[in-house]
Amino acid sequence: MHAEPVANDSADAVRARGSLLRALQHRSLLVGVVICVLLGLLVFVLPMVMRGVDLNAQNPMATFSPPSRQHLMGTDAFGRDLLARVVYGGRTTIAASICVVLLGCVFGTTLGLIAGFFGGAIGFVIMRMVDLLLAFPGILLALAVSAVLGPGLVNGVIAIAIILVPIYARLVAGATAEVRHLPYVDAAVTLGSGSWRIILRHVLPNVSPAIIVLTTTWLGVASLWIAALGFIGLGVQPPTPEWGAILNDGQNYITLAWWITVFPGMFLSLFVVGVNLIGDGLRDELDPTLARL
Amino acid sequence: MQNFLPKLLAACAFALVGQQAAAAPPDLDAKITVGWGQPFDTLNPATTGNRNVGPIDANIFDTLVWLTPDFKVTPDLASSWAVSPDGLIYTFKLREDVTFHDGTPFDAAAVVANVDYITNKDTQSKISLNLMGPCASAVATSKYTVQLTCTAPYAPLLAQLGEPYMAIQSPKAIREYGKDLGLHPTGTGPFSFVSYQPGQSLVLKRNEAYKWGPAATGHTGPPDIAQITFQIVSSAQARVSQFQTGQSDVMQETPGVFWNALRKMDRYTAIEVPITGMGIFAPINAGSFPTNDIAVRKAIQYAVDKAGVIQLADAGAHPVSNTPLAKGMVDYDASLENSYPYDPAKAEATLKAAGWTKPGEFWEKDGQRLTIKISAIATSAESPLMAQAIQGYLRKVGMDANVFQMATPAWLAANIKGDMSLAALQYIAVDSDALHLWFLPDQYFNWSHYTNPTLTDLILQGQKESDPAKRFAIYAKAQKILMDEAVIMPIRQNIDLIMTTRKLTGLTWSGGGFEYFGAASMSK
Repeated sequence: MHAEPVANDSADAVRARGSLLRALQHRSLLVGVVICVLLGLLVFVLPMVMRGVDLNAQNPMATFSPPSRQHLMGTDAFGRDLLARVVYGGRTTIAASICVVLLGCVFGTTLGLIAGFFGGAIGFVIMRMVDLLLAFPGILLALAVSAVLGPGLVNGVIAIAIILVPIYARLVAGATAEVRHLPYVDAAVTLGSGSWRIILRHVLPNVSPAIIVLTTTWLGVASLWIAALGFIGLGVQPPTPEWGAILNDGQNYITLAWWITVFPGMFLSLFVVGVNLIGDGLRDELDPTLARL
Repeated sequence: MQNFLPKLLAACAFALVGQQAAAAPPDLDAKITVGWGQPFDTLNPATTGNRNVGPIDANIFDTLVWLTPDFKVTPDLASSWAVSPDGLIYTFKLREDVTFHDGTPFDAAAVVANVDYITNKDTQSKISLNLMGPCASAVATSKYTVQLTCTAPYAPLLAQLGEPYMAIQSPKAIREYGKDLGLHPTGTGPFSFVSYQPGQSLVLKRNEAYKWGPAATGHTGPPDIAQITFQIVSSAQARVSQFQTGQSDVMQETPGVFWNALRKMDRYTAIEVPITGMGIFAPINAGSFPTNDIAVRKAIQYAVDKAGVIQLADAGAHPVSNTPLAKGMVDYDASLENSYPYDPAKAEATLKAAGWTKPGEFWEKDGQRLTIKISAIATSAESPLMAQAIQGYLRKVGMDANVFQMATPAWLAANIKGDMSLAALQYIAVDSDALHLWFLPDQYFNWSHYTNPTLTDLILQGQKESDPAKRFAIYAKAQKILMDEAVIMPIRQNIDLIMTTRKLTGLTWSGGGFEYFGAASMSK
């Protein structure tokens, strides 16, 4: 049907599919998947069961109640049920960090593909801008951007995504430049395929393992940064719960009400560990060259 | 009267100190550590804009007069003073035995140098210049007599000269250090400067030459305490841990939850230092939708349960405030206490009567939703909590209340511009004239974006009136207008909750709530 030579990627894809089972036998990958699935169930399914719980209802008479049968994780400084807030807060944190890596991935990959494939002046301009952004420490850049955009979850997501864009762009540009001069790409060029067709059909599939590994690695970091913005009050605005914001709520009462910081902190750590384990496992499976480093 | 009162106060205070001294001899080598709540913008009294620098400067510097906690003006660097019958000229007779920490003798020329420094445009004074009102010119009429001349009568002057922001600095230091003056505070006070790491700690040591000082505190001569280290510990939890483990002897700005818990333990001395002025309050923006509707402003006042807000934001450690000038101020008016009792039903009825409708969760008028924007300082411990608590109460009555947590500069800008509906904040003052900064047109702090010719008139009259009864009548009227127009929502009284070890006695403060260690001592 297609006159172009079959690129290596198809073979890779077949191998990858065949190795899905083998991949799950990878121990850290399996543990990571289990942790993330459990957390996913907790924060995305439990709220459906908990309908009717008003997570923002303040109660001056029930502030700082320790964990009990009525409030499994106790209550916070506003007398709100902490379990509900941790569960809903997880939703915010996890959903926001997924948005961050998706945004960063889409924009960064696009820029990287353009820079790596076309090179020349356009590649130069893109890569110098990437260098410029990479010169800033990540969290500082996020703080500056969210200070300009104003507080709020959406602005926070944008601010952190901006940090990820150059990271993706740099990785993808490098990988693309490498693939660009392989014989099968030259062959596709010779056969008259358009640039974008070549990029999407032949280049992208070959750089995708690196993108996937990068995405899982940065998902954990993104959730920490979302929490960090929430912690200093620039992320999601009250009363919407978010793990970092809850941690901040509790930090001034650690010795009196440990539960306010311990529970969201525990779940945030679990999520980061889970995602990182998946990232490690995927790296071993998809990108053997990296694994050997 | 001027001479009798201080003597009486001194006598009373002496009696108290005498008893304590009898109980345990003071440790003259005592070095104490104070867990301090916030970093300083500068230590320069003339340029600081922070309430929290006031108490620090009160220990390094002296002022012309000492203001007692109940606002009596008593001698300090000035031994006596007289006001001309037209109220335009204040003549101060100065003490002749005073020297600055750097050895410079204190005299009338030093006072003139300070007034010139404060009024100099390059100094960019934030608080001090305001405190001088229209009395910005000083002349030395003899070596130890100085005259302050006003362009209009200004009744608050004497009391305000007692605020630490009017501290007298060494003229030599002013000349020598220029812009760095804040890093080299040089005064005549009970403690002299040793070292300062911005954002971390400040060390002061006893001024051995201190033979003067405010007699009204009951202590004259060098302080008993040999050295004070102010350690800046912004995290409330860390400050509490530091205190509980004995790493500090005094803790300032104790969070309410811990205040309650530590008081129950009955192992420490708990001191409530009233920070006078307008308490903690929220100016309500009358300049933009929806709070430009007086019904909305009134509804907000009925909807917010202040006791509940205090319980949620600070474990109920502070009393409610219902008046623009908080309890403890000379012109506090008790008759305003019940202006807006907590009554959510009345809040809704007020909105309904003004044509608001509630088709769904929130009130609307002409298709516009009743959206309230509450601003808070993100880095503050209490500001976001208070904003959230208020938000909770406003949502309960169907107002779409949102909290915006911002860095301080953005917070200032948003409120000055009028982008926000309300912000809970503090303002400290020793005189009722505090109102002028908030409610005269074109003032930096007119965050209510409200002007009213009658109110302006009253505030200007208050500045000129020196008769206490007439002043009270003027400010009662002004406050009534503020409450009737609902452009300010008083929330709670402002108190610095201080915990000290039981070994420390005699910690006092000057009027306004500026902690003073010059009369304190540690037992062995």
